[in-house]
Amino acid sequence: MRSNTLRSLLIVLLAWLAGCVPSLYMPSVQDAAPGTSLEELLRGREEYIQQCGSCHSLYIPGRFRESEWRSALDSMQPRAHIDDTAKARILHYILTGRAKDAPRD
Amino acid sequence: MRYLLRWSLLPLLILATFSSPAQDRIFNYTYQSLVLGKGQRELEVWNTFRWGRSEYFRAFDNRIEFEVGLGSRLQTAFYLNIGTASVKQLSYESTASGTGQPVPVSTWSLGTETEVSFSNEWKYKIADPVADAVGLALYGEYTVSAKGIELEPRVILDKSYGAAIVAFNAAGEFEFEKQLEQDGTEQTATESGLELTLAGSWELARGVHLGAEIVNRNGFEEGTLLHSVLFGGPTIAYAQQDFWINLTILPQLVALKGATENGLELDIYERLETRLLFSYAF
Repeated sequence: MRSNTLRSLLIVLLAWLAGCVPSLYMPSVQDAAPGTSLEELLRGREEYIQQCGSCHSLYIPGRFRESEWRSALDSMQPRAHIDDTAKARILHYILTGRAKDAPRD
Repeated sequence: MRYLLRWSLLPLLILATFSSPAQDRIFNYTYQSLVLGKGQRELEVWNTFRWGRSEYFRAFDNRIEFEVGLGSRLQTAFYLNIGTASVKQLSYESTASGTGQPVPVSTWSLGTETEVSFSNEWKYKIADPVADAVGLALYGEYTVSAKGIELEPRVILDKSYGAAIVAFNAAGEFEFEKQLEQDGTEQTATESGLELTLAGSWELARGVHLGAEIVNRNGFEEGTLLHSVLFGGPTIAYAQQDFWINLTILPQLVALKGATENGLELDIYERLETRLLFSYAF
């Protein structure tokens, strides 16, 4: 009984691991709007992970409303020493991803 | 009365609406891969209550933990552990008999034992549960007490799907404890165990998580599995800006090996345990 239970648990675990992809939105060429390149969106994603994820857990863009993201970035910018250009890139990445993440509000 | 209620609830509503939760831990037995940011500090108070063995048994385990982030991937923590257990025990007393010789008489009583120890943990995050395919962290903890030492290596896997979080841990337990033989000679007893935990949770509202945890505890002696027990139950977590509180109720579901009573193992493990964690970030 024990070995069967552990084997089942292991199979479920491996299936779960095999099916995992990053929850955080990954921009594609189609997401690049006029005036914004894919590289800029990817850089915004990287900056979001590095600047925000080094101090607290990351949230998927669809978790908060646009106003909440703007307000959060305004308050976090001085604390995380994020310059205006990086902040704009992070916000653009988040708002682009938010449209794809099926917002919960 | 209604006026009073409205005004007493208003601060709570404001807090719940505008605060962004700082919660990085939503399970009590299953650890997550997240670590505190550099310089961030948390004080955690653990309270675990265990009871219900074949004979009378109640235990209260308290841990005070000071946790600090050392970088974007590394954190450490220091614990003061105080555990108290009350058990039914047989004691012998000598009374004089008719012949004038002492005769041993056995009596039942409640014996209480308290143990104090110190622990230190290190956690290193390898992959993030949101940015990467799966969150992964390696964890190690050692505990020093008057009787011996205990080592706990742990692998942590977790995954965040927005409102849903799933986590799995595999932890080893190696205990080296001094014991006295009947002739008074000292010996070091070694105990080893393996703990597998699986947990899932759903965020019902901002900062409120409801889920379940399953804990499988296995005890070995010289490489042979002696007992294997499955616990499982609900867990609830609530977080605000500077604090979070988690509660898990964990009844024993079944003994996979070594059952002693109605499919449960009640000589070493308990029918039920509950754990309450409170944390304050400063």
